[in-house]
Amino acid sequence: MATDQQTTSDTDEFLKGLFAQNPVFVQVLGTCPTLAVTNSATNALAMGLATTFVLVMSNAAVSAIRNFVPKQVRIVSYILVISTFVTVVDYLIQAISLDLYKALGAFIALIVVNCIILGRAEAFASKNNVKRSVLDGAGMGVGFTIALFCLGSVRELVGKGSLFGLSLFGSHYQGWVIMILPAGGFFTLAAWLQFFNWRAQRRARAAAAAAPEVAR
Amino acid sequence: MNAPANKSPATRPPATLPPAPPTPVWPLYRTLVGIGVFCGLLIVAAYSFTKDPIRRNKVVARQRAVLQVIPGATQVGTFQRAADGSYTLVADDSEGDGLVFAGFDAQQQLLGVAIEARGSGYGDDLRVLYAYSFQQQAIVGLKVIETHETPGLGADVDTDPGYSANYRQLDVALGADQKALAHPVEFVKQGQKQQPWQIDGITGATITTRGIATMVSKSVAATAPSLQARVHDFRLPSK
Repeated sequence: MATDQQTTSDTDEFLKGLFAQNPVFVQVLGTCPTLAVTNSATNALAMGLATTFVLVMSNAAVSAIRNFVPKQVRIVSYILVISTFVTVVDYLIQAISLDLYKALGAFIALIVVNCIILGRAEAFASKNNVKRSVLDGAGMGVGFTIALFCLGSVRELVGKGSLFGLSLFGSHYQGWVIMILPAGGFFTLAAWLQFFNWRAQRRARAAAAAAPEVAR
Repeated sequence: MNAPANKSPATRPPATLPPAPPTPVWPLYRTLVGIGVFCGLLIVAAYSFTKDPIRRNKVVARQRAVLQVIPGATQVGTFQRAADGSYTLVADDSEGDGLVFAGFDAQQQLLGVAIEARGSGYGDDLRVLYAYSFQQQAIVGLKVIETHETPGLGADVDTDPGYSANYRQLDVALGADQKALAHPVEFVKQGQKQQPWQIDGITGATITTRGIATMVSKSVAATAPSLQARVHDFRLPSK
């Protein structure tokens, strides 16, 4: 049976998902919804929040039952738990806004097969206590939401000249329609990945340059 | 199972780890059934909690669409077509086939009815709501309520002012026998509209605009004669 591990502080457990281990920009997971629903900032934010809810709740539930689930049936148990919370979030979004529900379409149901969620359940929640699992889920969820918003805001700004539906460049702005189309998702994701890799390489170079001075 | 006693050392299989103890079946059943029951209860509880708000949202969205599509309407009445062709007022949250939505002004004067039509577009099925005016015998408004068309092309039919103008006064007058349209609605390519019963397409969204024209043409041809014959069925209860 898995054992609890306590190597990082609670704050670091939450913060790691935001940038250092961001599920989209660093781990490159969950790219299906990342590309599909980020044609506007509103859709991106809503999908990010829905996924965060499912991540937090499923991590908490998987962690709570980790000592009772035999390893032979652990995957089916986790999927059952995840699909339950996805169904709950599906009902909640319909109750909050039908327009938002229609905009997100089939991708709400497809949260079930988002690899970030099953990945965190298997890799983290099944080995850690409820508190740390909730923090991990919240951090990864917020990191996923940030990533989706980064894509959605750029695509909506360039593609429609608006943000959250509010026109920013006036009626004369001719949007780049391709940014709203699926190809625009690939372009924008590639640009953000390049930025994050460049940032990581710059930090690594700075650390390498500082190392000899420390040794001296 | 034990190896036969007369097997020589040369043919004996190499030494392996002792087999894992068999997994008892009961904990597997208990776990899966327990989680299943918990998940089932949670889903039913969420459904019960959100059922009424979802129904309210659907009614509000439908009424908002009807008020947008029928010019001047301030009140909506939902009517269901009966087997004998008559229309009766039903609850606003009614669902099913044969529903039409009548729009009234503040004095409860009938302005027209909104009818839903569906058909194929370029990406997937399309659903539209169009307004039929009894007085003008014309389609006086159209709103796309479900679309999966390409953004910037087919998805813009609802916001393209030129295309929307097609449905502001589209002639669907009945013929002399009052049983069919005098002129079926026709689709023509952009800029070729000559007659009031023709619909101009949009270059770059031909399949979408042709699809909408076809579904509206079929729907209005099937419903306009019966609606016109039962115009007196559409009235709200006096306050």
